[in-house]
Amino acid sequence: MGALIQPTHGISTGRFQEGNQVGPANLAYSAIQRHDDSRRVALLRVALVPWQGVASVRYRFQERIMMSKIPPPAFRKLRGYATDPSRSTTLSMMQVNKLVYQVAWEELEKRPGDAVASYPIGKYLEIVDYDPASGRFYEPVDLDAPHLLAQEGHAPSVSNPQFHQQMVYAVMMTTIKNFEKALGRKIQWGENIRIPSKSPDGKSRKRVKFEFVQRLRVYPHALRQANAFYDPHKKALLFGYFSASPANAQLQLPGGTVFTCLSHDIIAHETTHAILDGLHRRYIKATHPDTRAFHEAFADIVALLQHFSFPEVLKHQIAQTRGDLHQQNMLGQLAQQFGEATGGYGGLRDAIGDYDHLGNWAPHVPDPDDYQNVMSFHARGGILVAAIFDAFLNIYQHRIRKILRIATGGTGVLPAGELHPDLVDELAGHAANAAREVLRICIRALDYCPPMDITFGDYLRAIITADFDMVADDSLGYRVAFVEAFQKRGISASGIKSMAVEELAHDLNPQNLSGQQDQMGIFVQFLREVKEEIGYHTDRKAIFEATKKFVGGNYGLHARIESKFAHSEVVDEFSSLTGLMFPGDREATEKLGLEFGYGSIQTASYEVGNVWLANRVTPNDGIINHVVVTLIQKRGVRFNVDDGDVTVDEDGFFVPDKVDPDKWGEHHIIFNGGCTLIFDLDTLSLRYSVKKDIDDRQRMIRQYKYEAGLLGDANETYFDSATMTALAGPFAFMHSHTDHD
Amino acid sequence: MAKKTSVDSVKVRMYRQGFGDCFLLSFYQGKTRVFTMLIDCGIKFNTKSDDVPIEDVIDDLKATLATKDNGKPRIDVLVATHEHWDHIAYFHPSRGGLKNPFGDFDIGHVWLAWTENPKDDEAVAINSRLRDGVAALSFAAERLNDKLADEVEQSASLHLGGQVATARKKFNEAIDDVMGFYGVTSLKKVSQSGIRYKKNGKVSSMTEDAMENVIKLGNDGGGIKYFSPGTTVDANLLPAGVNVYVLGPPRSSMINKSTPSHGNAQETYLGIDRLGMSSFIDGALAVGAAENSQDHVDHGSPFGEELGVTPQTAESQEFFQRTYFADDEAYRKIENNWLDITGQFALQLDGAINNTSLVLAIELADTGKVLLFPGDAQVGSWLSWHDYQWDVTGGSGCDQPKVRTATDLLNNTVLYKVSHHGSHNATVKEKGLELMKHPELVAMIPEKEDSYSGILYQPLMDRLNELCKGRVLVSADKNFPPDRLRAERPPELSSGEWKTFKDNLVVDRVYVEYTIRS
Repeated sequence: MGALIQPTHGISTGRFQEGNQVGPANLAYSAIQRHDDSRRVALLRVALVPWQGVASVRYRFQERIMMSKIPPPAFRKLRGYATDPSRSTTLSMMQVNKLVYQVAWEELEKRPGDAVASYPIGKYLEIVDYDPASGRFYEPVDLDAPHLLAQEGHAPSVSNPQFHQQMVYAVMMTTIKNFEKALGRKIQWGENIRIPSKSPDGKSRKRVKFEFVQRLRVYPHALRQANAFYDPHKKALLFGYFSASPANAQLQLPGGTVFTCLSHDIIAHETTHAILDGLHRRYIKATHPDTRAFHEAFADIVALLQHFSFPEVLKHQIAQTRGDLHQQNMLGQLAQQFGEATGGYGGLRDAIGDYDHLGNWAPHVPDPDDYQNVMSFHARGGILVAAIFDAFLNIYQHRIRKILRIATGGTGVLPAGELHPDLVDELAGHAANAAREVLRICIRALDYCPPMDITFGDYLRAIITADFDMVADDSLGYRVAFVEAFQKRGISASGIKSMAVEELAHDLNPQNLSGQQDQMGIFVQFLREVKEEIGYHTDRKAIFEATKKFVGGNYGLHARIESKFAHSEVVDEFSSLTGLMFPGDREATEKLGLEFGYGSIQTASYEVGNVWLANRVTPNDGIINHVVVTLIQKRGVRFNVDDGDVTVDEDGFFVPDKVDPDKWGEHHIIFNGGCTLIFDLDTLSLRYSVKKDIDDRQRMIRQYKYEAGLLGDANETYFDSATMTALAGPFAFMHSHTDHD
Repeated sequence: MAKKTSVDSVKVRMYRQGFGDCFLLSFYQGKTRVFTMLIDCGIKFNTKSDDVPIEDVIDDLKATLATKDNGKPRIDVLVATHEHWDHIAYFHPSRGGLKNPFGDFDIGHVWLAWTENPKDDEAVAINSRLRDGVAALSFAAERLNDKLADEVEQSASLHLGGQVATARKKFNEAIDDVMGFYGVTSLKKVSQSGIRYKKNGKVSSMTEDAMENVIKLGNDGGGIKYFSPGTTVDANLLPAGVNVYVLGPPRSSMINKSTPSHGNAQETYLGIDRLGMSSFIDGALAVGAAENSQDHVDHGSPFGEELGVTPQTAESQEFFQRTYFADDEAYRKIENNWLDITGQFALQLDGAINNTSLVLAIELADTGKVLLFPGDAQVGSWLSWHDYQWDVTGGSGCDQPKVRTATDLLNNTVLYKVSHHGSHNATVKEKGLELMKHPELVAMIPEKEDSYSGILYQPLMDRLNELCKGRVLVSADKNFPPDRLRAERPPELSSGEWKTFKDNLVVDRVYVEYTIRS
C-alpha cells in the first residue's frame, strides 16, 4: 500500500461523509475514525507527516483542501438501458431505451496504490463478476476512471461485461435509495445468522449470533439459465444469461444471448427481494398462500413503479397510447426481454393484460373470486400486482383529467393525430410523479406490516394506515383507489367487517393498558433515548451495532419489556395488545410450547426483531417521528389429523429448540406470533399495534393445512419445495421460468 | 392373413414386474388368437417387484405365445414406445442376468416412432439434442455429487447450514433417481467424463444398447416400421377388423402450431431449446470436456475467450482475493449454483423423451371401441393429436363415418393405458381425459408404490375412478391391489356392470388381464 497516497483519499472519504468544515488536523482525525484497525496505525503515522514539514505531502494536502471546497457531486451519472436491450433493436424504441441513471454519489473503495481508480465496492454492494460455467473472472469496472466520469460511464453494450457491472450497480443503487427515501432511514441487509452452540447442561441454548452484513454480493453472470435470484444464505444476487429463442425474431436474434443483469426490471425485482428480506426476515417462511406470493408481488410492484418513475421512458409510451396507460403498454410488461426470449409473446408477468392464444392483447378483467381461487403463488402474486397497478392508473388518470381539459378547451376529448409534445411532457411528468408517490406508499407500508405470516389483506391495511399517517386528509382519493382496486379482486382483510377505509386503518392509540399509560410513557421515553443515539449515526454498521446495544443488556429494550410488562400486573393486557403469551413459570410456559428463559429473562422468551426509526416529512410539512419495534415468539404445534379434519393437539405443544426434530411428529408446524408496535415519540404513546396472535388456533390450522398442501397449492412433485427452498433460498426456484406446470 | 371374420375381442395383459410397462395384447376371432402385440418391456431402476421376477414374465410370455408346432413363441408386433428404461430395459441384450430374452421369440414387425428413424432429419436433430442434454445432465449430476462436501463445509458456520446440506443431499438423490430412466444405475459408476454415450447414438449407452437390440430383433424378424402422427397402420399389417391410428409423437411444426403462446410448449420435446437451456447444456459439456482434455476448450463464454481471466489468474489478483477468495466469505461462493438447474432440466428432458412416445389408438372396427396406448406421452403430445384427422379406408363397418378425429377416438376409448404411470402432467384434462366418456371405460396403470415422487397423482386417480366407475387396474402398487375390485363392488358400478367387469378380469400373480369385447 502506498503510504503517501493512502491518507489523502482517506481524508477525502471522511470529508465527503461528515461534511465538516474543519482544518487539516481534524480532517486527519476524522479519517482515522472511519478506518478499521489495520489501517489506523499507518494513517496516524502518515497523518502526522505534513506537520513535520515534508513538502511534497503538504502540497498534496493543500491541493486536496482546495479541492474539498468543491462539494462532492450529488449524483454519479451512469448510462444504462431503461427497459432491456431487446427494446433497442426496434427502430421506434431506440431513442427511449437509453437512460442516464442518477445514482446518489458514494465513494467507492479505491484500488490500492491508486488515488483515483476504484473497485465496484460501495457501502451497500460489491460486484464480483465471476462466471463459473465459463471459468472466467471479469475485470471489475472502474467507475471513477476520469474518462468514464466525464461521459456518464460506459456506453450501453451487450458485449461489455464492465458495462453490465455498471448497469447492475446503477439500478440496484437506484432501488436502494428509493427505499431509503420512502422509509426515512438506511436499509439493512438481512443479518448473517451464525450457528448457535448448545450449552453444556443441554437445557439452555447460547444465543444465535446475528452478524452485520455490510454488502450484498452481486454476481452479474452467475448462472446459465433464464433465471436470477436472491440467495438469502449467501447474501448475494445471482444473475443468469441464456440463449434466446424467441417467437418474434425481430426482438431477439435466435441464438443471441440474453442477460438478465441488463434488465432494469429484473435487477430491481431481485434487489427488492434482498431489501425485503432485510426488513422482514420471516417473510421468507411460507406460512400462507399469500406469503410467497407477497414476496414476489412486492418485488414486481417496486420494479414496475420504479420503471414508471422515469419520465423519459414514459414520454414515448404516452405519445403512443395517447395518454391512456390502460391501453396495451410496453412498460406494463415486467421483464420484457425475459419473457420474449423464452418463447412467450408477452412479458414474464403481465400486470395489466395478457396475450390470448391468437396473439391479441387484452386487459385483465379483475374477478372478485380471484383471491379465493388462484393458489399458485405466481398467479396469486399477479393479483396483488394488478391491484396496485390499477390503483396507480386510477390515480394517474385522476391527476391528468384537469390537464386534458385544459389542453382540449374543456372537452377532455383529445383530437385525432399526434399529441402536442408539451402535453406529452406534462402527462409523462404526472405519470412519473404518480408512480413515485405510489411506490413510496407501497414501501412505507412495510413498517405497518406484521412481522410474519403476511397476507394481502394485512398489506392493504398497512397501506391505508401508513398513508393516513402521511396524509390525514385524503382529498385526492388515493386510499379509496387502493381499496377499490383490492376489492375488485376479492382481497379482503380478516377480522374486518367492511372494506371502508376507516375500518381498514389500524386502531389509533390502542388503549388496552388501562390506567397504565405511565408505564407506556416511561417506555416510550426510553425509545426517545434510543432515537437520540441511533438517529445520528449515518454509517449502517454503526446503526446496526447501536441498535443491538439498545435491545440487549440489563437495561436494554428486551429487558425493559420483561420488567415493565411481562412481569407486571398488566401482563394480560400487554398480551392481548401484542399477541404474545407469558404463561408464568417454566413448566406452564413449556407446556404451551414456548421456550422459557432464553438468555437472561425469566419468562416466556420473545425476540425483539426490528427497531426502526421512521423519520419522515409529510407532504404537508408535518414530521413523523416514530419508532417501530417488532416482537416475536415461537411455538411448536402438533395437530390431530383425521381425514382432512385438522384440530390442534392441545397436549402436543413443544419447544422447537429443545426437542429433537425427529420427535416433532408427523403433523406439526413451527408457529410464530407477535406484533409490530409503532410508537409515536412526540406524544409518547403507542400509536398502533399490528399483531398476529401466538395463540390463534385458526391461524395454526391454516398454516398446517398450507404446509401440508391441503389448500390446493401442491403442484410440486419431484423436487419438493422444502428441498428447493433450503438449497438456495425460496427465490432461486420461484423465478426460474422453467416451472413444470 | 385371413380377412373373412373380424377380431371380436382383445385380451390386454399387464405384467406386474414393478414400475415399468409390459403389455401383451392378444387379438381374437372367436376363440382363435389371430394376432399378438407386445408393447414395451421395461423397469425403472430399483423398483423391481419382490413377487414377480422378470423371469416369470418372460416364462409367461413364452408359455402364452407358444405355437402348436413347438417353434419359437410368436410376437406379431413388438412395439417400443420410447427410450426410457422403464419401457425398454428387457430389450437390452444382457441386462439383469437375462441373456437377450426376446431373442427366443419369433418376432414379426417391430414398430417404432418416427423419432427413432435414422433417415429422418428431424429425428436425427432431436436425438442429437436429447443426447447432449442427457450428457449434460449426467455431468451436472456427477459434479454436484462430487462437490457435495465442499458445499457442506462452506455453509457449515451458518445457522441454516445443516438444512442446506440436507437439502443438497436430497436434491442430488432426486437427480440420481431421474437418471434411472436413462439407464444409468448409479452416478458413481459413470466414467470421469460423466458421459457415456456413443457419438451418433441415442441418449445413453444403456438405452441405446437396448434400442439397438430392438432394431436387431426387428431386422432378424419381419423388419422395422416407423410411424408418423396423422397416419394409420397399413391394413395388411393388421388382422381383419382392427384399425390402428398413430397419434404421436408430434412433428415439431405441429407442436408450434398448436401451442403458440402458453406454457404448454414447454412440455414438448423441443422445449429444451425454447427454454434457453442451450447455454446450460453447452456449458456443462464444455466443462466436462475441459476436465478431461489437455487442449483448450471453449466454454461458450458469452463474451468470447479474450475477455476475463481464468480462476487461477484471478486467485492472484487483489480484488478477487479480498472478495471471492476471501476465507471468511467462502459461504458466498457460487461455484456450482449454475448446476442447480439440473433438477428442472432433468424433468424437462424426461418430459421431452416421454413426448417421443409412439402413441397408438387401436380400434375394433365393428363397434368403434378404442384401446389407447399413449406410452408416456405428456401434454405437448396430447394437444397435438387434435391437429390431425384420419381417413378410414377399408376394414371398417359401413355405418362408420369416414373420418376420425382425436375427439372421436377419445370418446370411444374403452381401455386407457394411463400415460406415464399416472403422473400429474401426462394426462391432459379437457382435450384428453374429459373426452373419455365411454360407459365401459377401464384404466390400466403400470406402477409400483414409492417409485417416483408424485405418482400416483391423487387428483388424476380421483377423476379416473369417477370416469371408470372404479374400474382402475394398477399393476404392482401394494396400495391398489386389483383383487379388491373383485372382492368389493365399487359403489359407482351397478351390479350388472360389476359382474361383466369381473367376468373379463383375470388377476394373476404375474399379470392382470382384462378382455375387451367388441
